[in-house]
Amino acid sequence: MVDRASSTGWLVFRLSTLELWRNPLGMVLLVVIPSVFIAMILWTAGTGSLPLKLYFGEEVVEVLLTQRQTALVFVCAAVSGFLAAYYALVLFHSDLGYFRYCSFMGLSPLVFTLARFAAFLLVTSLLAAITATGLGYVTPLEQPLLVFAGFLLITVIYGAYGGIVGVLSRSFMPALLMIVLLADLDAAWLQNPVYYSAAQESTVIQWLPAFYPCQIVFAGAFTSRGNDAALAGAATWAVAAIAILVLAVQVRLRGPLAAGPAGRFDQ
Amino acid sequence: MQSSETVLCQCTALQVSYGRRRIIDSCSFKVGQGQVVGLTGENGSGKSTLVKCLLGFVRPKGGHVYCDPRAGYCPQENYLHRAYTVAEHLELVASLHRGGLRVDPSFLARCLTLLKLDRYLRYPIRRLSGGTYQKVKFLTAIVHRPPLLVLDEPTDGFDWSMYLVFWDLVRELVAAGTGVLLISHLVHDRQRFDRIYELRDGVVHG
Repeated sequence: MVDRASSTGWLVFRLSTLELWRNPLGMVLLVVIPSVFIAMILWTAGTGSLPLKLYFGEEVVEVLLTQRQTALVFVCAAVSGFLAAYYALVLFHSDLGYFRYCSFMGLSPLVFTLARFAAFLLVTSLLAAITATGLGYVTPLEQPLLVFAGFLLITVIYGAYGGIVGVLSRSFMPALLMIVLLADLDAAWLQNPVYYSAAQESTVIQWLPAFYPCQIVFAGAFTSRGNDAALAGAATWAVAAIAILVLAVQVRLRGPLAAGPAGRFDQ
Repeated sequence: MQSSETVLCQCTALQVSYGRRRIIDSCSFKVGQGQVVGLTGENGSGKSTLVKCLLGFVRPKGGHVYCDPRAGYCPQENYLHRAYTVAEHLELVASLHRGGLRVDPSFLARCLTLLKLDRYLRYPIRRLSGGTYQKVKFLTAIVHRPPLLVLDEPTDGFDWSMYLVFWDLVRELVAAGTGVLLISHLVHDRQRFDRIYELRDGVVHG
């Protein structure tokens, strides 16, 4: 039973990876979008210094950084979040009817979610590695591995969000707009360290999903300190988001009438 | 025809609604082992909704439904994954063991030959013609040799020779005990049914 589930899981993982590979637009976006943003910042950002506040749990650390450094790191985090949500949307929304049929044929929704999410993680790890490496070329990073971890966590959280929206939404466009709304509001605007440092209600910003991963990225890029508080916060968000995704897939794939062993649906 | 004592699918006083609109109103029928049962009716009469309800895709408003949980289903919709090839799709389907049913590789190979699908194994599904797409859907439904087959207009797009191959395969499965519920508009299908139900104004007339 376990063997069968694992072999089906491996097959779904392999096919899901192939699906992403066969999505040429997605593969182009993976490289083009971060490159365009980095190029625009290198072209336009100033080199004047700004005082910024970074979150380290109970402690708030102030650092002095150039606009260019700040914008490069922040925008890479925001782009990673948006792209991850887009990939997850493609994986969990497109052809869901097919997997609903496969579920009818015996595919476990849990195996489907885990295999699909594993394929998604493979791509987002690649995305996080490309972004962290590219960023390292254009601005010095104090702790590249912590920066990579921050990017990975933001892709997991936003990926799960994209998956949830994709599974629950009937059509693609409203789902995409939902993703753009949150990614723009949270990752691409409120988590800007310049905005956050001067915010009147920073607690509200701290409740948003991209806050902890962004703080991990900033701590890794600009300081030599670890950020356990942000890591714990981001891990909690990631686990909660994945759990909701599993539940959403379970509901959509099984439908309201899961056939019991007797196949009887009495009302 | 074999004994019809083993019921594979049955509904009694079934009612189905979409919102306030009643689609099926008090519908009763059954499909037994080794039977070929036809379900006919005008466009929009609710035939597809009825079989979706039998299979658990749609929640009934009232009545009782029983369906063998190992049923094979060929829906009317084009549901196949566009990014996969025919071989990848079949590999995934063959890895699923619904209710303990397993795919017999020799049966699969024979079906591929009979349905002339072997040459399309490497084709992406999005590039298949309508008739070939329909053959893949039909093969997906029968590949586990399920005890019950529910086929919703399965021969759409088939040429005449493929239509005959389709019935040869159905007859072979029926001879082995499979019960078949088939939605069809084709007049020449009627002579092949053991029993015909007609869905009219939300009520089944048998």
